[in-house]
Amino acid sequence: MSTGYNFYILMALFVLLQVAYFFMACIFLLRAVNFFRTKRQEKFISKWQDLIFSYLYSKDNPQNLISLIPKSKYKYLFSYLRTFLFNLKGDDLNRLKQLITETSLREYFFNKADKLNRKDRVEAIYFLKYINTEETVNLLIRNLNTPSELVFRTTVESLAYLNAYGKINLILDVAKKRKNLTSDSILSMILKFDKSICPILTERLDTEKSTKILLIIITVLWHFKYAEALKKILNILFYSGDKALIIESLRYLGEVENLDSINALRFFLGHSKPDIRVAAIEAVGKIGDASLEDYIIKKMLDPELEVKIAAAKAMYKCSTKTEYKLFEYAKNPSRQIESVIAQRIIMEKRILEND
Amino acid sequence: MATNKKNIVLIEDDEGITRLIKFKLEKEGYEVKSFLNGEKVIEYLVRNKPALIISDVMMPVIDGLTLLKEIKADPRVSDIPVIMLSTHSHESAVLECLRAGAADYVTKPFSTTELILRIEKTLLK
Amino acid sequence: MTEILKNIVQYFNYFILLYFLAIGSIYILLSLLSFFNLKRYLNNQAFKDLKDVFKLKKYKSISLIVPAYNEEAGIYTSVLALLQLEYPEYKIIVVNDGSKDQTLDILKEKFNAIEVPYLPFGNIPTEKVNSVYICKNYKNLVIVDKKNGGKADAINVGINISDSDLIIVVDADSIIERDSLLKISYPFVENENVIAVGGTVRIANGCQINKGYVTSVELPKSWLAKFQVVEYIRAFMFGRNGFQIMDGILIISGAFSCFKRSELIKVNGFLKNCIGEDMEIIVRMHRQLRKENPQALISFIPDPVCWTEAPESKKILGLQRKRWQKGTIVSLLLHKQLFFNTHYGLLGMIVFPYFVLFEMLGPIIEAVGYLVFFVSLIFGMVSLNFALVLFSAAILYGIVLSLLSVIFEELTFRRYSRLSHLIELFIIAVLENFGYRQITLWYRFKGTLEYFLGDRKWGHMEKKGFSS
Repeated sequence: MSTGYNFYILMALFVLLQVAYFFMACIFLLRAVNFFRTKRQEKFISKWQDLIFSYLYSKDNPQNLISLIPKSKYKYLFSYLRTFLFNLKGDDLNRLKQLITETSLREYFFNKADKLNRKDRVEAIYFLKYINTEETVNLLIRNLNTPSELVFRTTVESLAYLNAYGKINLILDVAKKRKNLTSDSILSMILKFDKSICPILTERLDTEKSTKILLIIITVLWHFKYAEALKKILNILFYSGDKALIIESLRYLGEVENLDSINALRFFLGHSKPDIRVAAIEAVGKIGDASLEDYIIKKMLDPELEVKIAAAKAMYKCSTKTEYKLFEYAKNPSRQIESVIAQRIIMEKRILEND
Repeated sequence: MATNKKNIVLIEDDEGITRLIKFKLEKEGYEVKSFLNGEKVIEYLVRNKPALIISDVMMPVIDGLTLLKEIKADPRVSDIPVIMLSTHSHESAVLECLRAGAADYVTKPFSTTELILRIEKTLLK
Repeated sequence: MTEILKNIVQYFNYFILLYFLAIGSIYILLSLLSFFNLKRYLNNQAFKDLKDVFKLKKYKSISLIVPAYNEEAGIYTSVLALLQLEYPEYKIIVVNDGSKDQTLDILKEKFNAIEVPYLPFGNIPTEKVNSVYICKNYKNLVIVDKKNGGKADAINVGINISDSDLIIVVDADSIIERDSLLKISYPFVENENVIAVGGTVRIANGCQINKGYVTSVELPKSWLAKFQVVEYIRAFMFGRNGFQIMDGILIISGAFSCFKRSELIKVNGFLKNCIGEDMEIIVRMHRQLRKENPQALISFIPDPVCWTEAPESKKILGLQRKRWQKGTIVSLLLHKQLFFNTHYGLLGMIVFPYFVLFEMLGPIIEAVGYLVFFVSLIFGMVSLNFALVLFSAAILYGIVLSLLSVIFEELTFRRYSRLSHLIELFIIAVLENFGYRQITLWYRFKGTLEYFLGDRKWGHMEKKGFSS
């Protein structure tokens, strides 16, 4: 390695030094930018906060307030509005909404929602949910076919806020095509709707082919305790061989607590898969019907530990008879495992539930 | 013991919400002293004897439930009513606060009108 | 004869030069990748209301497992702080790993623990569990006492006892940010293939800490800890972020990590008596679970969620680094099938070989490189000028990388809020390259050597004595 290399390495040294200087400058520049941004935000709050609050508790025309705020300060206004829109309800929320619905902000957001810039669009879609018109819904529907997952999520959540329950089928159709979207994600979006989506979803149970979507629908029905879907769910229970579907349906049965499901539950208590037995036991425990008492008591002797534990939990709350049986198991040293499980469940419930 | 009839202590970790509640309460004629968390609150209570406490449940350092229990265990301040404020809409959280001695419970999202009504109702008791 | 020797030395020098160039380009590539990853993460974060989970009836249930061995000084405060995290419902399972001090008694007394029968949900084999306690006033707290068996064994007991969807492993002396559960559980919701998620760890030394919370972020007084601040920022900003894009995260910090419980049970939990159990489990999960499901993903969130105490003495830093190095070697050697294995995509083809070449063998290559270079300098095979220029280039390059990581921090999370912090970070980023890096390289070199010479000890006492 001779001095011939010196030149190249010197060059590299020189470049590196320049880069280092550049980075140093960058760091301080970034800090300065950020410093002034926070300063401006603080200034905005101290200047406008009292005006916004006074507006909130007055009968003033919202446009008067919005006209006062320059467009360059919208960034701060929006982040401020978001905190309060999220945390307030009732009259306060309505007054706050008027700042968007009855002012020039309305046009502002409509324009932004069609922009190409993703950040602008997401922000506009987020606020559009406070403007409840046909026009908004149509605009949101147009945005459903976006390639961006973030835009899609915000759009669905806005539709949910607007309670556009008639569009739920469309949303599910689009969601089905988006391969990256998980069931959990779809659920967290559509659970922002209220109970009014349930009849439409129940209808869909007949025609839907995708297990993923069926699972989502049943979970939604479970979430809202929508009892009217019982017949169709029972149908799915008996004609679907899918484990996840069966478990989700059993959970639904437990939640709606209808005596019509007793036969189905009895059948699934004897299913060959332990997780299905557990789900059936949990459902029975919730319903607490006397006709299944003996079945639950027997489940304590199931070969699987998880099933035994579920049975013990169900016995504690099902009826006085099962509770008595649970105490018997606890005191019976000849069945060691069952005894330990029973003791643990009884103690846990006693310590944690009573005061 | 003389309590300050119009003095309210607010413990909340979100500054925006603190400012709003403060604004509204002051408009109604109350004096509000705010804290970011449950620390040093008891000392203040002992010295100033406020009429009422509004406290968030989830806060860093000393949370609302711990503070509530401390207040109720301290005979010098245990008579001051506490209204809890929280994002938990779960029943168990509500029960836990009421069991620990909270006078009332408001869940976020909340309305300031509702909060004022609950304050007035609590103060009347 | 001397001619041949000279030639060998010459070629070796070329090799070392090439090695440094390669590692340099890899870092540039990683920083680019991580820039995109950070940008993507922050964009997605902006309009997400993590607290929405409170409104749902169904969410991922979480168990926090806290293995504790001789932690009497800090355990009470740590657990109290853990009880205040933001999440709808979660369980804390403190596993006392046969401590020789008062850890268990303190826990039992302070939390009014009541003994209940032991009921395992999982069946990973572990040491004997002596007793299980629950607490009347803290309904989500479970205390377990077991026979000493090491950290991995303690975690496995926790996994057995838990019946949650997700398992989070936390060091007893880590400080966890209050919204960290919301953040770390989100990747599992977003993607069903996620099997584990790691979080960013920062240095707590110097920060104001009150009742287990970081109330104000400051830089430490000790220089050794200061250097680690920048080192951690760099490692997490570049390494993890960059590798994540390639689905090639091989290390998740043991101080705070989250797993799908079902997958942990599938791989039979953590490996007992393994030096780097936190790295080994990740490599094993890649290896076993991606065989079944090629899409299985180990993810990482760049948000700082956890603060940990860094060693302030050279001796303990040395022990820690030697242990890390040995842990890396063990994990890589145990799963050497991944090396250039096309089934594992970029992980097998790029990340794993990178770890073997630069992380495992790196210290040896570099150390020998320095030695040979020094020898060739003495024998006049390389001019002094050339040597000086080369060294300055290497050091300057290190400075540039450290500065870049500070820029990334400035662009993203900005935890160090004061201007004086910034100037200090900046000075640290420069000074770090004169001594600190060489010292850590030396520790890693010693660790590697010790490993191959047969000393595979745990280095168990590290970290103790730091509990705040």
